[in-house]
Amino acid sequence: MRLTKDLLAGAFFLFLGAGALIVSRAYPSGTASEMGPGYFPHLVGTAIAIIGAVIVVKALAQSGDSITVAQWGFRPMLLILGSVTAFALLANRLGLIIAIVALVAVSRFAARDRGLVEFVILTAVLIAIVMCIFVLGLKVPFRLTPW
Amino acid sequence: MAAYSLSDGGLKRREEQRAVASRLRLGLSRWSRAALLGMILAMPYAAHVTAADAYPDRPVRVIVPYPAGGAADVVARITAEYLTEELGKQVFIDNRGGAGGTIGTGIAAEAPADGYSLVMHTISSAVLNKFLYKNIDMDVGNRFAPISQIGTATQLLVVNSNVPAKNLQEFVALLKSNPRKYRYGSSGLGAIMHLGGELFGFMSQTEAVHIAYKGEAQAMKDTLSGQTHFMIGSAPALLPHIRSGKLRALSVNADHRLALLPDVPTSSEAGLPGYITFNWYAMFAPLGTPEPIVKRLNEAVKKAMARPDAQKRFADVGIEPVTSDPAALTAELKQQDAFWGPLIERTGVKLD
Amino acid sequence: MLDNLALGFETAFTISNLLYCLIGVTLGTAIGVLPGVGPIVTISVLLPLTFGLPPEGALIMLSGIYYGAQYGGSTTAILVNLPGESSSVVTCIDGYQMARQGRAGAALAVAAIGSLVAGCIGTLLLAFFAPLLTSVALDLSAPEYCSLMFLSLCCTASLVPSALLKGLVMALTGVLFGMVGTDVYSGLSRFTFGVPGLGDGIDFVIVAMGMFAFSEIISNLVDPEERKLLTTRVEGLMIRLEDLKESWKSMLRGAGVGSLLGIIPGAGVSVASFVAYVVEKKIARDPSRFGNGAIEGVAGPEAANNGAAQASFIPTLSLGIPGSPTMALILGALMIQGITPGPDVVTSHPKLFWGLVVSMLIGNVLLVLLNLPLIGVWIRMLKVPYRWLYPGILVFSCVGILTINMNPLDVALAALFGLVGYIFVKLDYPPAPFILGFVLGPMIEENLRRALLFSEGSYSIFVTRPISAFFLVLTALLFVSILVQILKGGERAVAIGGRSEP
Repeated sequence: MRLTKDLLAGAFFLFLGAGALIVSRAYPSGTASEMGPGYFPHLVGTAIAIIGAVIVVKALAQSGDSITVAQWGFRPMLLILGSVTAFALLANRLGLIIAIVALVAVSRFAARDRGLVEFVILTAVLIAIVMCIFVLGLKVPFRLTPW
Repeated sequence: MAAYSLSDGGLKRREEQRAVASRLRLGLSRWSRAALLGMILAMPYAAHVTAADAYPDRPVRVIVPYPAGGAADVVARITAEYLTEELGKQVFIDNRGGAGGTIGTGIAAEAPADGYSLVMHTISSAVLNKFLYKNIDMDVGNRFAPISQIGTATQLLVVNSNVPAKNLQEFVALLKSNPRKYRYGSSGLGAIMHLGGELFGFMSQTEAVHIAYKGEAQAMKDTLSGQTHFMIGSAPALLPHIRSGKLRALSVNADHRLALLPDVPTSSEAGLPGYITFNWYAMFAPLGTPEPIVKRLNEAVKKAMARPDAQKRFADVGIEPVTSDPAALTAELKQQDAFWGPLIERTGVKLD
Repeated sequence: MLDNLALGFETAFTISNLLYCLIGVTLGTAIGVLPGVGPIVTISVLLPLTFGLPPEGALIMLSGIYYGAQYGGSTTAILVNLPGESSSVVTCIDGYQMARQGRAGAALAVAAIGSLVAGCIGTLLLAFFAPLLTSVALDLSAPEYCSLMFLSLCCTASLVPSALLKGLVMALTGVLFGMVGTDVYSGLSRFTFGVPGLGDGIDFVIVAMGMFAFSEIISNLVDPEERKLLTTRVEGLMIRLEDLKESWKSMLRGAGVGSLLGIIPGAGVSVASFVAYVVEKKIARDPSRFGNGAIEGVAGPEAANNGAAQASFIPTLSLGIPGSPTMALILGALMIQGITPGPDVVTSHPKLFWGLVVSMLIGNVLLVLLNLPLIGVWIRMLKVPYRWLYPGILVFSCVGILTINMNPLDVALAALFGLVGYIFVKLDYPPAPFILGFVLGPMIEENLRRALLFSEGSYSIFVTRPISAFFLVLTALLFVSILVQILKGGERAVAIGGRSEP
């Protein structure tokens, strides 16, 4: 069995739909004319799970001419999303400036070519622009520094 | 519209509310005695300390636990404008809306208690949330130091002009003969507009269908078009539509008539004494804010609110300016807790 | 009527009001271009400054920010596939493809001119038909909203006839994520997993940043060749005459659709550009060009977007009912000035109302004058080496998201949506239906349940009310046309979201 695009997608939706149904099982469903908070989640969750299952079955049936993902690109994916997560973790704890430095530093590893001087200049310029627009201009009350 | 100090209109209003609260089966006398005691105990703390002399030496932040543009925001911004002049330092607004005011309340409670972070509470964030959100600590009385009340916004009961009831008694009769056939809209579950409707149902012994909306504007739109039949809303937003004839005001839910609507009877005149609902706005500081700073702020608020131009600005947005001492605000908080708490328990609304 | 317009010109053409208008649209454009920073932050900052202004000046400036931001948002959508608001999602589809083909200049220009055309039409509509349109807007309630949203959601399916299942499942997934938050009717927290920051649901900007901007950056880094195309083939800075010939009808149609939908408080602006896109694709002789850089796919929705933005002032001013948080803020500003919006605002404050109407005409012209020269600047920005550009996009996006609620959790959520968006792109599942489902799904649920409360549980309310029935008939026709397309063999049709099926 090859992990074709459609097979992966189908499995994803199947699990998503099933997961939604499990999480929402306690929400009262009500009836079609008197809907409770669970009616839509149950309906949508079921539909997603069914379509996911159909996609899986279709993918298995015609796996011969389906396409696999050529290149996942895990490295840029992890680095970019990691840099954003680092920003999220640091913004309130150590302040905006350090968070931006971390964001630029981590994300820069995703590109092939890198140099320290370029990194320093880029970070300084970006921090300066953010300061001008958000702190001086829009007066957003950010925490800027660790102290 | 004059400023109502707690000595005249306020006390009478409290008396009427108290009567209703006891009908909601509540031992209120205990509360009021405690409040009185608190008031007496708080009196002597008037000593001046040097730390307060330098206050404020940098801008002061007022957290509004609601998004920009809403009624609480408007009140806070007008207050901040005059407070800036009184304090001599910039007083700025920091909107921290979300989750019915609980997020901003939490942020304000954890802010440094140095007098540079204040919060503008509404009756929802200060009183109702405590009963609506059981999983979060929303006890404003235990987490904040009261500074002063800012003002109240009187509510009206209005019906769409197609509803065949010319006054409140006719309307109550109409509802009684058609249980669950009439609908009212509110800005959301557990909002003062919703609880005002629940209270109306309880006191008039009628049953209507509540329709929750996301915000007052959408609720009002459907009352204007007749999709919902009545609503309990604050005066300024309703006035233009009452004037244009789309809505009919049946009662002013207060102990006095409104200068802008002299023909509309109060709830007791209309036959439902004690049906008093309003929103109020009050300023607090995080618990532990030094007494002298609180006192300085209280004085600044009082001075700012006494200015005729400030009074006019508040009147323009439908707010009756009310100032009070910290102890009186604590008492008011307890009073409102005692009033709304049992009603929320009765309706069984929960938001978490 | 002419007297009124004359009064409006008199008010708007004073030096100070012209200046406020210019400041407003310039600021609006600037913040629209910044990812994640919306008009709300800007207007809240400027609010105290407007206390000192006369009401006309304040309103003219704040409105300028509002429609200027709508305008700037399409710039980032075209250049870097980054929609600032739900209305620019559609612009991403063909606008970004045009940019990849070296026609960013033409796309930006056609967006600017389309917005001007629609802005003028919307404004005139506002001037002449405000009272009539107000009463129409008032008659629309939950059943109509529900039917209109349902129609819009079905449009998504029709966009991807060859992959009906893909579009459908993506839209449903969007609906699922849209349901995160507190249920309006029961107060129950759904899918919040006890996280307090999720109580109000997930902000649209967070989803858009993650699914469009972040996943696009990853894609570009994985496959640098594709990105090179964008920078090396920048040709035709300015719009050509044939571009205008191809698109002027689309602009007019978009303007019509947008202006009509814009008067529906709280619903119109978010669906106008989607509906306009579907209209263009249905009318086009060769629908397969859509998704591959069709100029009509930029002109129509951009015109609709701006037309709707201008028309949405009608319910806001004449009913006092704001259609969006930004509008609520502008109303708040008016309240602080001591003016309560309502049916009498036109008669009791004629200077304010007509001054605003005329200032919007002026503002639209200013926006075009401001933006056409800027196109050169933006194109040059595309030539900035990507290793400098993408950290910049990341920084502005993250800081922008942080300003929404000052909650870092939002930024982490955007990273999560980046992951989900990237996986969808890799698996060839188009993100646009997801966004549409995310925006419209919760509105459908809310209004469906409200309509059923009105009718005491009877579904007949959707067909007995004429406007609702009209929308449902359109939906049925749409389904028929999809069926016909499928029977004819729609395999040539192209996936919405830009990437054609391999």
